[in-house]
Amino acid sequence: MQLSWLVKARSFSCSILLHIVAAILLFVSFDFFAVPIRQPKNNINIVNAVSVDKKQVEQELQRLKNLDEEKKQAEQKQLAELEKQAQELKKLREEEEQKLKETQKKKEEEQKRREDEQKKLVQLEKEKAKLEKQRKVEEEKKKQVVEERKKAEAEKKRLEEEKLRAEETRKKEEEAKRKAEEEKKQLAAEQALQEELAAEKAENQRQQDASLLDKIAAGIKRSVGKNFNKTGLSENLAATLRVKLLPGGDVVDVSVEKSSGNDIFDRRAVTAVQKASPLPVPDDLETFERLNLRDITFIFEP
Amino acid sequence: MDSVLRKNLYRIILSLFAGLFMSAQVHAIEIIIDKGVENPIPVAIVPFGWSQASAVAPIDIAGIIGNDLARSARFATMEEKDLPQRPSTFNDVNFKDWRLLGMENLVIGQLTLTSSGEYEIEFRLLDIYKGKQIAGFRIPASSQQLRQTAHEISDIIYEKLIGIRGAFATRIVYITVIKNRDGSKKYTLQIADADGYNPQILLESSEPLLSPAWSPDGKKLAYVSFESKTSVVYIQDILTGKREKVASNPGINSAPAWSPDGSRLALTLSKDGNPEIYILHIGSKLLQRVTNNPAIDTEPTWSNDGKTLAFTSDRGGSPQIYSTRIDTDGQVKRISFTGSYNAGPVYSPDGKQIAVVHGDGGVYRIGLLDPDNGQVSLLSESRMDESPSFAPNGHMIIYTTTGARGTALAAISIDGNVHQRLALQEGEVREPAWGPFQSR
Repeated sequence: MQLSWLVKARSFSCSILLHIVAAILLFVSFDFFAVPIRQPKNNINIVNAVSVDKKQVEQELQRLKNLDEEKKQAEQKQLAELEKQAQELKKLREEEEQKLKETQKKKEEEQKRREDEQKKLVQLEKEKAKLEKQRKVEEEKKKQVVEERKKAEAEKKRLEEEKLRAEETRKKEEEAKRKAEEEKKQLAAEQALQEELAAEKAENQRQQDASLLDKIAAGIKRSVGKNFNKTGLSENLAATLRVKLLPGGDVVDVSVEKSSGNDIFDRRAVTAVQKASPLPVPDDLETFERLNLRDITFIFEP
Repeated sequence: MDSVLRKNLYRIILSLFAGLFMSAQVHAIEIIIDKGVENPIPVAIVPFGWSQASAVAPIDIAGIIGNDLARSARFATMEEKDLPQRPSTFNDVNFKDWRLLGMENLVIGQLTLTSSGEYEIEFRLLDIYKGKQIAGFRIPASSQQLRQTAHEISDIIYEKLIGIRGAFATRIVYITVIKNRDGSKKYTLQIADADGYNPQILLESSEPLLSPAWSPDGKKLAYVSFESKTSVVYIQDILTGKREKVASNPGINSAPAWSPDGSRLALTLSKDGNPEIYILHIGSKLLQRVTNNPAIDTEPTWSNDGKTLAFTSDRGGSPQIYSTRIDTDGQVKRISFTGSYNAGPVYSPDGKQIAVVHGDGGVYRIGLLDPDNGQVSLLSESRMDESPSFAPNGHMIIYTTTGARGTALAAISIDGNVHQRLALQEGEVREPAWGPFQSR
């Protein structure tokens, strides 16, 4: 249908075209076939040729009639020719149609291909998007990882710094400690020296004290012995007494540390110490304390 | 650094030594009392309180105790006028006052007349330096027992302060000789408290009485009487006065001595010619001859285990002490080797010593013979001391001493510190014998 319309339109336009061409050929004895394509353009000049002589026109008409005849013939011929041509055209058209069809088909195929491609493209696009997304995610991830790594590194760095600081503090402290120890050592050394001196002094004092103590002990022994009454006591008894003195020699406490097992012996010993009170000790309080005379052990073993 | 180290080391060593010294010093002062004195023990006896303020106390308990303790020579009693206070209860005692006087022991007490007419004696023995009571008793007594009770208190005090039972609440027996105006003599066998008080006559005779001896249980006496003109040995029950002739052999019957178990009497008999030692088995009347020697053997004394007899014999030329084991072969050995005269042996209660009359140049004193080494140590210091007899605790010896005022009883402690005449009896006193402990 479409094809027939197309063929009709084409044949119509072809006839017009042929008329126009004939007209032109009438006015311009140009070779018809010389510039077939340019004719339409020269048609505009036809209007300008109206004022031409009638005889001439007759002639012309005659000629044109001739020509028309001729033309009819020619047209006939041409028609035939055209027919033939149409036939050929038809054939051609058919071929073309076929071709067109094919082309169409091809086109469709192309279309389809294109669509497919489009689809593919979309798919691709999608995939690409997906990929992109993925990439983005990954990138994000990567970024995150990087971020984290950065963070970790920062933390690490911070820790290291802290460690460094701690180390520094430690070093400082150690240094301080070392210094303190050094000072302490020095102090100790000084102290040791002092103590050495003091010890020497003490040793001297001690020796003096020892002989002083001997004297005092002898005095106390005499004093207590004089009061230790053995009357009636059996032999081979011994008792140990712990005696507390006040400065000045006053006996404030006597306790039996180790009994002789004989009440009377123990009592006589206690009485001896108490009767001897105050015991002969140095009046000087400092000496009394230094010699530790507050606490005396007596062993009674007559 | 090195020097510091060395110094430190030195310091450490020093401080070690110092530490040793210091720690030694803290408890260091140690005094050894290896000597003492043998002094009488100071004791003050405060006159006892008496419940009846309006009446005079029936007895001076403090006085009796004071005499007892003083006589033992082991105590120094404070005279009544020196007492700083007269407390009769513990709370009244001001210990400080007594300490200032060096007094060590204090006896306080109270005599109470009870509603039943009997008495009660309460006493306390106090340690003045400790401010504490050593002993305290409340003893009921009848009026007849008051003196004896006072002696018993003395015994307790003696035991608490010396550690050995006192022998104050014991009795003695002795012979007195009184010259009558017509020139005749009266002999009496008397028994008295150990301090000479309460004498009681057990026997009177115009003929000599000799050698009284206590049975170990303190209930009987053996003695020699010449009342029948010849010597006879009697055993007499103290309480009942009942007596028994146990030896009346021809010749001498003398010097009875009880064996420690009271079953036998050692005697001197001359029935076989000259004086020999025999043992009389009281129950069976059997005689066992111990010595056999032409010399005089007399004055037997038993060792505390009853196995040995010591006696006087002049078999060596002069009187000396010999001994023999009666349980074996009867071998006799001389045991006194000091001086030319040792006689009248008496074994001490522990059997370790023998009291003897030691004569030297006409002076006779009481001595202690050590039977192991033959040495005699003199105790008494007069010119004519005889007849020693041990107190049952062995701490004292009673004997006779003859001086310008006649013959009297005297007591001496075995350490020889004090000798004291006992209450003088009328006339001459002879041959005292100290009785055994009496059951409380």
